[in-house]
Amino acid sequence: MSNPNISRRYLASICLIISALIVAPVAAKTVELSFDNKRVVTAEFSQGGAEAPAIIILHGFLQTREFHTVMRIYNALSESGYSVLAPTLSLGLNRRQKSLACEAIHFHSMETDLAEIDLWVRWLNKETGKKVILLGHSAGSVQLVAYVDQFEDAPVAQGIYISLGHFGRGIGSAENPVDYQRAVASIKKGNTGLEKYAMSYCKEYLTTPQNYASYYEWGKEKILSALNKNRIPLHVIYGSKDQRIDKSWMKKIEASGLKVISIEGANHFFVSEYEFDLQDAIDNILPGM
Amino acid sequence: MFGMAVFVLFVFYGLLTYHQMQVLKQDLQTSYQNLANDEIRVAIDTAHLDIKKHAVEFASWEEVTQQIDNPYYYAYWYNHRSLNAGVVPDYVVDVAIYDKSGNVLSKIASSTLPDAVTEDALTSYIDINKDKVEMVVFEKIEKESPSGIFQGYISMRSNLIPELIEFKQYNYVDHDSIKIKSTEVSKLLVSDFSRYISYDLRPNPIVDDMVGIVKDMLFRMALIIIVPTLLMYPFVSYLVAKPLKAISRHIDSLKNKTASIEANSLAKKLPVSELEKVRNSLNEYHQQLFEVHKSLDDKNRELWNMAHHDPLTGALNRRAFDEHWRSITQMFSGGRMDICLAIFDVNNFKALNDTYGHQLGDEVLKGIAQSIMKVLRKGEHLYRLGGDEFATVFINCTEQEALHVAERCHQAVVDCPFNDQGVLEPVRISIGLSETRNVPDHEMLLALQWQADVAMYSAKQPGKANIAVFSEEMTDKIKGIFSSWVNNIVYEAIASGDDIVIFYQPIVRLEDRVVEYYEALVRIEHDGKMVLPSDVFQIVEARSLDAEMDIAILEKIYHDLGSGKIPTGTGVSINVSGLSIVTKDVLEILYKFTRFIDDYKLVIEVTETSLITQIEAASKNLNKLREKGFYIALDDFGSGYSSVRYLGTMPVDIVKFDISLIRSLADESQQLIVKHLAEMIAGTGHKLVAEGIETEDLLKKVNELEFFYGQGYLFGRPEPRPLEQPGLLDGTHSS
Repeated sequence: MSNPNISRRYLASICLIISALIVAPVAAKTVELSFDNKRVVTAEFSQGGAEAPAIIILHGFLQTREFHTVMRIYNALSESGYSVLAPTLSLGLNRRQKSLACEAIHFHSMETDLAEIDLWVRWLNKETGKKVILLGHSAGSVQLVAYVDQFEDAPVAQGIYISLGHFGRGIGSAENPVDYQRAVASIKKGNTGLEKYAMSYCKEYLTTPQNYASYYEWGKEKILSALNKNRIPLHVIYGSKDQRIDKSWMKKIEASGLKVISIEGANHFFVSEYEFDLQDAIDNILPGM
Repeated sequence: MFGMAVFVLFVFYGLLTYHQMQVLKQDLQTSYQNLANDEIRVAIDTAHLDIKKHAVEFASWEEVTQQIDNPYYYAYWYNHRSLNAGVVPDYVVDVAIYDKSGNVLSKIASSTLPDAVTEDALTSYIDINKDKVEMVVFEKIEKESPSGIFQGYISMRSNLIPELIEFKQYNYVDHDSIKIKSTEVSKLLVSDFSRYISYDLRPNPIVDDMVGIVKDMLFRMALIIIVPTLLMYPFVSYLVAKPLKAISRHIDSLKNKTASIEANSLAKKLPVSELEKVRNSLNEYHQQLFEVHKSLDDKNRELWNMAHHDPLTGALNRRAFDEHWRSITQMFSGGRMDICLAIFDVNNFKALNDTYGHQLGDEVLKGIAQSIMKVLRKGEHLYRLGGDEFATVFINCTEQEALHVAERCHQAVVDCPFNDQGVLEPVRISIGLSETRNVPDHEMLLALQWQADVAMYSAKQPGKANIAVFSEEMTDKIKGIFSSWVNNIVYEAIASGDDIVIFYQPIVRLEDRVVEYYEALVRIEHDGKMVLPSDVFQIVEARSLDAEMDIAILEKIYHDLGSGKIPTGTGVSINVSGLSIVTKDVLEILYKFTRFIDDYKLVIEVTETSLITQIEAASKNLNKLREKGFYIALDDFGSGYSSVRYLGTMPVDIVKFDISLIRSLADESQQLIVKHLAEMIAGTGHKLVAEGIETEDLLKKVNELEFFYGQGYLFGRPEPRPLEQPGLLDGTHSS
């Protein structure tokens, strides 16, 4: 007997390929906005129908919207008729188009990132007239959690957090308390110079102690605390084989009462056939049009 | 030799081929060098483009923009990120970022790039510093956007040599050998850079293979030629060279006449059948050659004997004498020697011959010659000079010895029993001797013959003992006859014909005194002096020069006839000796005269005596001449035997009565005989000529007889130019 789940996945994969081949490409455009009067930030935007929900998709740490997991979701939702916006956080770089290397000088912080997210959420809300559904991947999910938490008036409708991780100490994270203590100490000393830390998957991460701390502070507890505020409906999607997120973190999420969807066999990036499972899961979460 | 030629040819060909190959290699090398230069230029351009491409990529790197936006940490970024982020390739050694004003974001002490750039100075250049060759390029930083925002500049310094070496398309340049010639040059234009590069060419496999193939081919050819040649040399030497050398030696020995035909050196059988055949042919040929030589020697000896011996007497002939005399002259001229010449002459031989006939005369000559030869000593030879004249030469012999030999010769002739052959009269010889002693004078040698002649003439004189030795006193007595001057003139005249002058005496018809023809009479004139005809004919007769003299005279007459000297309608009467009439050369000249037959009456005068000696041959030739239109006149009739019987058999048209008969007309008793004789001869159809008519009285008497023609001073003397009209001159000389 064949596994009915696997058969369904294959069927979905075939349908997606066929639809990708026969459906006309959705009209998309690059949107540029001036951020903070210092730099230009960009996003890919696909205009959906008038009644279509507006979705913002946010990439992971140091990545761009071109990251394959993000781009596949963007394409799928665009083709489904949603109004979809995929920004690339500038990370301090004007019109950033490429992922930023760990070894580069990092001038960005959680605050600057959230400010850019807010810029795009409000632009999308304004553009579509609809509250925005937040959809993040990995650190992008963390930043969206933080955004909802930090920007209470944000016009958001729903949160879908894929491979939701955390900053700060934890299995699969490079951060460590020692670095944080060093950063705190530096901050106390008023040091604003560059220091080398470990961050996320970067073993060498050059930034100011303030910037480092801004990310590090969004650890497990702070995220759970933010999630538990239940301001908007939230869904969390995990791959059962995600090696970047420790199991205990997943259990804590599940234990918090959030709607958690686990896709069997998928990893952190939902590669290969699991992207269809992910898409199915998202489709099931999103409101119909 | 052949091997050597082949070897030399091969060496020449090999060197030529190798040279051509080197030339071709050089040409290809030059072409290769040019292509390599092009390749280097392409490599530099490609490297330049590649570096420019990386510079563009670098300029578009977001971290560069980041540094422009926030240059606060530029030094850190420069040291840790600029070259280590993997954005630029390894050969990039330095970079710099400039703001919109062209000023570097932050001056870096270790940087070798300029601190500032300007819009108009963004041309790439090359720095050469010792072994480092670096290209510096510039690019503008323009953020990709629809507006293309200009943000500043970057510069990039790249190590060029590794980039050149990594150029993938080297076909001609050995990229590992690329080096820099100059040690320090700054800001060199990229387009000029190729001149500062040195490199080696990659091995040209085609040329190298080709040269290798040619070398290999030459080596193999050398082996093919030399090895078999060396191997075959002993064999060929044994088969060919050695036998050929043996044959060559054999030929040399045959040439030197030191080897017999079956020479030991070639007795062994030769290894090659063809050479063996050559050997046999050579031997056979040599055998035949030897036999031919022997036969030729025999024939030569026979011919020499025939040419140098008198067939009648067995003595050596005049030719042999002349050769012997010449050899003596050449051999002893200038040396001290004694030479004695003896000339023998038979006394009254002509009369003897006339009386007993020439057959018996020949027997007499034969007996005399054999008698003399018997008594001559070893090394002394008898020569028959002509007729009844003999000679012998004594070398290194005293006068007494020569005289003694001459006496023995004379006695031998006296003792010869000619009576047994029917000769009743005693046969004697006269011997003239001349000698020269220790006088190496050429002229003296030449004079010996004449002196011996004089002595011999003297010995014939009555009262002499038939043997005489030349003395100066004899010269005076017989100077006229045997003068060497006269001899020489006569000889010279006959040889050249220059001094011979023909005088013409008219012969007229007695009935009307019209010149019928002229008798040609020879004279010899030298340096204004005339040689007497009597002297001339004595010498001619003594030297047996009859035919030669007649030929010279005939040539002159022929010339006179041809030049019109002689009036046409007349004629010429030519005296020809009995000996000449049987001489072929004389006859041939006479035949030439037939061209004048129509204009001239041509008469051949012969003497009765000369005809008698060879009557048969003479008659035959005279008949031929008559058939061609000549008239034949019998001269001096009545001066000798005057045989009417002979006259009847002779082919004669005209009979000239001797002057003695004509003069005898003055004597009444003689007149009658002459009258009847003339009547008788005229009666047989002959026309008669009366010679010696010098007076009218004599002419009157001649006219009373049967004479048809007259000749004499009364009608005209002999003149160089013929008288056309006869004169009636008083004269006292006859022709």
